[in-house]
Amino acid sequence: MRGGLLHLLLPLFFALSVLLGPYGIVNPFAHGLGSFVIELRILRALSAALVGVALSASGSGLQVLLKNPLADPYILGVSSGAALGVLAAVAAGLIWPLEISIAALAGGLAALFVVMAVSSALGLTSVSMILVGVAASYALSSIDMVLMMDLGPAVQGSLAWLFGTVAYVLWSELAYAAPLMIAGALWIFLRAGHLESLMLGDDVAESMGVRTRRLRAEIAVASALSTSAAVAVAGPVGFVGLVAPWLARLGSGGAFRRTYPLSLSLGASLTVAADLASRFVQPGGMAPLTSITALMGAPVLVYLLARLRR
Amino acid sequence: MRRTAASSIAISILIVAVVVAASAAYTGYQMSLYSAQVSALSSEVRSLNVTIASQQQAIESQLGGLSSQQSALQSQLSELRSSMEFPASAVDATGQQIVVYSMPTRIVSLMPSDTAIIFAVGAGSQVVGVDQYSNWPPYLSSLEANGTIKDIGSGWYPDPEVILSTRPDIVFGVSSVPSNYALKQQFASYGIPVVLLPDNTIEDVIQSIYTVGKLTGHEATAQVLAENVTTELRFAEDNVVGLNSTPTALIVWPSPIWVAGNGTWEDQMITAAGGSNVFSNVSGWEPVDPEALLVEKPQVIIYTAGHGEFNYTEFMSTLYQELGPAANSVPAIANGRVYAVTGTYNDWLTEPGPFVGDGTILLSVLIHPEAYGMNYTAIPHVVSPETFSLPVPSSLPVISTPEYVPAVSSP
Amino acid sequence: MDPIVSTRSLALAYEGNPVLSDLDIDAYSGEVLAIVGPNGVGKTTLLRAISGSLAIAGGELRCCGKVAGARARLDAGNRISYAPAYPDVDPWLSALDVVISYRMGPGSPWARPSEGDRRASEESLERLGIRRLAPRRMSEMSSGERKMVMLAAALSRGSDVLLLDEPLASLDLRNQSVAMAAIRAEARRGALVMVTSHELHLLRLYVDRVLVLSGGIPVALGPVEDVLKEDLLERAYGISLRNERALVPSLDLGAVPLK
Repeated sequence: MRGGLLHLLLPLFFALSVLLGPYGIVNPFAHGLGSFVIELRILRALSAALVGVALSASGSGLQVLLKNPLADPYILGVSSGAALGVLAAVAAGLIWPLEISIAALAGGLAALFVVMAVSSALGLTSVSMILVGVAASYALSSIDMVLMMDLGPAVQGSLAWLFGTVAYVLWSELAYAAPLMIAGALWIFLRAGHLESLMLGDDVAESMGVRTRRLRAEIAVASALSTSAAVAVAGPVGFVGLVAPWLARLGSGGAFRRTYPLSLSLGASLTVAADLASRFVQPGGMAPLTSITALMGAPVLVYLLARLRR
Repeated sequence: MRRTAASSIAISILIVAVVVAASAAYTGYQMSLYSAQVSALSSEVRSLNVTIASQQQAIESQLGGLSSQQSALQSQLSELRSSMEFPASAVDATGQQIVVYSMPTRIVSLMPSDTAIIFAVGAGSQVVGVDQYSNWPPYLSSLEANGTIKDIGSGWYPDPEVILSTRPDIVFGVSSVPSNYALKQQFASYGIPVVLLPDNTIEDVIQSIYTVGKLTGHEATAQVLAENVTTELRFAEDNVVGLNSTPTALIVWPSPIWVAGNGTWEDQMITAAGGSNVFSNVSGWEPVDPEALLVEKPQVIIYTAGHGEFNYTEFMSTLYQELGPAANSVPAIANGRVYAVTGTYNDWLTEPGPFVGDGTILLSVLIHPEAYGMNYTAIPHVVSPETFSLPVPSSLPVISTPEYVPAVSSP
Repeated sequence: MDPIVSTRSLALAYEGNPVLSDLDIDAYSGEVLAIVGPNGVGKTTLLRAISGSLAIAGGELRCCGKVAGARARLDAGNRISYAPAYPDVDPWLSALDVVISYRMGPGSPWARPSEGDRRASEESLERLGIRRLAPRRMSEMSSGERKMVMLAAALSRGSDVLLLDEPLASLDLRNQSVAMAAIRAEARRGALVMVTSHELHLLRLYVDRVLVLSGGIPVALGPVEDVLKEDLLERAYGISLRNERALVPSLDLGAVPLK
């Protein structure tokens, strides 16, 4: 009930994102350069919204799956793997956006594959997944660092993919990444009932016919799919996947089936708003998306938590 | 007849006196007549002079009008001549054939090196946007201040919309920066060419000069510029020919020590300047362990100190902190041949732009002062245009600050 | 009457290690069956096997008309409700959320709690005297209160088989009596309620039959008064009750060994 109005934030921010920018306010039905600016803004807003959906879907799923309120889409090593993919591609001379994007996707999925293989061997429990994921993140980050040192100045030009932005998305990238992001989010949605039961405890869920091991594998794959695709589009945009599920829970309360759709819509709103803000915080330049999502999301989260304590 | 004689003398004297008096009176009269004539004449001359002067002024002003007309005609002519070079086409670093159908009048540059090349070929007045790090030519900042040119932010991480807000008809970037590729593909769908200039080697710079000249309508100037750069390079090379190549390290960042290695224009400049890059074993720009200096033993260390971000003293204390007393086993340090290059000189060494020739001459002086009849002790540790002027003959073509001719608004 | 739960030569293992074997039990609708025995003997394992969260190692398990053979799991859907001894519930859920989610179970992601679900859930909380906890989050409750919420959740579905792991542990005196009354009411409704317990002195108050496990096998099964005999318990738990009678005040002697 309370959450219903929050869904309106998405169309609001989307419209603002199409209307406002450093180019100025443009008539959406303009011709010439104005129409191109509008096209780029729509592409940006659409990418941001999809990335927000993918990340909050993944974060929502993983927080329940891993029984960890701090779980975010990158806890299974996807972002370090994707960064490795980007850096390796640039080092190998693959520098076109689509090449970089696919390298990020491949890196993210490869990292997940390794994490799942190792934690399966250790029993595929929440703890084993988190520990293996964190270990893999650190290991991959160390390789990332070596590559960054090697690349020298070229790294500065790759920062867009390492810090996160939707400024350079092409329709061709979105064309292949959007289905993956949506598929991941949809897959998690289809398991919403199972995840809701899992919130009552593993053995209760099992007694209700939920196969928790399989569910873990499914959700991990689905979230890695949407997260990797999101990283391939926008780089590792941080904080959205952590905070959107919480904003939804604190904003509307209730169990997973109720909070999940709100979490997706809030994640999309937050990312679209962050992209909008990123055009204005620095005159004549852009701020990385992660810095804005964190700046915008953190106070809201703290406020909601504080209100809850009263 | 003494009386008769005397009276005749008196009479003759009288006559003479009368005659003299009369002639004097006549002369006086004549004199007064002349002077009146002279004054009339001189006043006439004065008025003539005034007339002449005013005529002269009129002629001069007419002449001035003519010469301004001439220069306007000339600039129109050159513009016409340039526009006759269109459609122009060139291949950029990505191998894409770029076709420009009319003379670009709204150029955006994403990198300082591109900006320098664009201005140096004479296309400065066609520029409407540059990145925030572009700093040459010196009047660039005032053009940005008065709104003629827009600061589009970082070229490493540019906002497409900010670039579009300058309504560009062509954009110049570089081939080493991934985001520039993304921009190229984005803008391609709207037909705004993004030209990626190669930026790794000296040959790339020469190539870029030709490409920029061709696409901006300044092919002839570009030709001259490229020849000048080549002449400068040859000047440096000729001066050090036959000299032992001196082991040299070029440090581009102090902490961690980041060096220019193989495959960089700096490496080529060192070689051309009669040095041998001790870090040619690393590829590109890479951080190295400070101890590598102990192993490689450079005779000369050149450190590009930017514009005062990290000065000579700090750099030396960093070296001593990291190497300890062993630092003195590095010949360059022991002999005091560590140079912090700042100011414009820094840009000569750190930008793949039109100053690679000047930069090579600077390096040749620092590495081989003897080739210029100098002792290395005469070179200060902080090398900048203020502390050290290059010992080069005036006959050498130097890349001077191009004149900025505001664009004639075309009909 | 056919048993609703029955096992034949059932063998159970936990992570590859054999836990229980030779289980032949028949349990009937309308009774409360308690499983007792020393810590680690396999009481919870047995409940989890019947609940379907554990594959059985050997023998056969039947429940609600479903059969599971070796290395298979039983799947009786929502005809079974299970309440763990130590609820591991998301701490941010409210008591009402827990009961509603439990009532709805997994299934369609589109499902939303109906008015009936809401009312039944509130009634279930009411029945256990914890309606006031409805809006409270699990993290704000004591462990006893959490136990009561879980019990309310398990009782909310009207299942045919209720598997309650130590339902009375960590409850206060009042809540114990409320819980025992609720369990009896479920049995009266016609459900089979299987509980595990260490509160042997309370069994008499709400349990019909007792299964005693010891050393990996069942050692006794029968009505409370028949099974809770001193020598049997001494053997089952490996203690001397004579010296510790004060701790087990209400037991009668005269056990009937199962085997």
